[in-house]
Amino acid sequence: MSVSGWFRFKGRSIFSWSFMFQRITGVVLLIYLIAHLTYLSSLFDRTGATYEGMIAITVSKQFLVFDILLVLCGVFHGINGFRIILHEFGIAYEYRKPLLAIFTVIAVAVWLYASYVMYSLTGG
Amino acid sequence: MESAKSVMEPLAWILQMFTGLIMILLVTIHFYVTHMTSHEALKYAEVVSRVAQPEFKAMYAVLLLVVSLHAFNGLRAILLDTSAGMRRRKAINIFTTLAFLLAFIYGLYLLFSI
Repeated sequence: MSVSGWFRFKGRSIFSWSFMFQRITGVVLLIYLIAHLTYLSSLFDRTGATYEGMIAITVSKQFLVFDILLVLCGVFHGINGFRIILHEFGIAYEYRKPLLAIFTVIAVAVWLYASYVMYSLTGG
Repeated sequence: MESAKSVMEPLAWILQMFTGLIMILLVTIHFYVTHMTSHEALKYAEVVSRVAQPEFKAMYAVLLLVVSLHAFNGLRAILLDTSAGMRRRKAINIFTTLAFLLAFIYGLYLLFSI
């Protein structure tokens, strides 16, 4: 499927949707990886001042929404990826449709739990 | 099945699955330690002290390797799945390999410098 095909809405199967989300979340996580490594360069300042200044922004309540969306991308990508690997090994291939639904529910549940803990830790 | 398998070579697809499985474990540990235990876990002193422990240093080195490989191999699959990408397969392979090496080597340098 070409990149433009990711955003075609007509006549798509739910597997095609999950494939599209797998790729979109993958791209988001790749961008985050580059940003994360760049951000961690602040650790080179051994006084810790640069790092502490940056971390104060990223652990703030205002930034939490981005963190939570990032966690959604990570959780969906990991859990959906695990489902793909299971099918690749021929496990539960005949139950593809219900398994996609179950894994999506698990992803949402894990995401909600992680978001709640992160919200609590930021003093919510 | 719709997956990156459609454009990847067999070895690249196996690596993508293998690194994905390792990441599920290591990213979960990393995320749990840094975001779900305490608000203090991200303080400079805590980060430096954690990374100084050999078991964490080893875990982060492995995590860095599998994350970089998985991310840029995945990017390669996405780019190769376009008509423009198919025409520039060699250039995309070189670009994503260099990007993987840069991310991994820079991350290792960072990990062993702090």
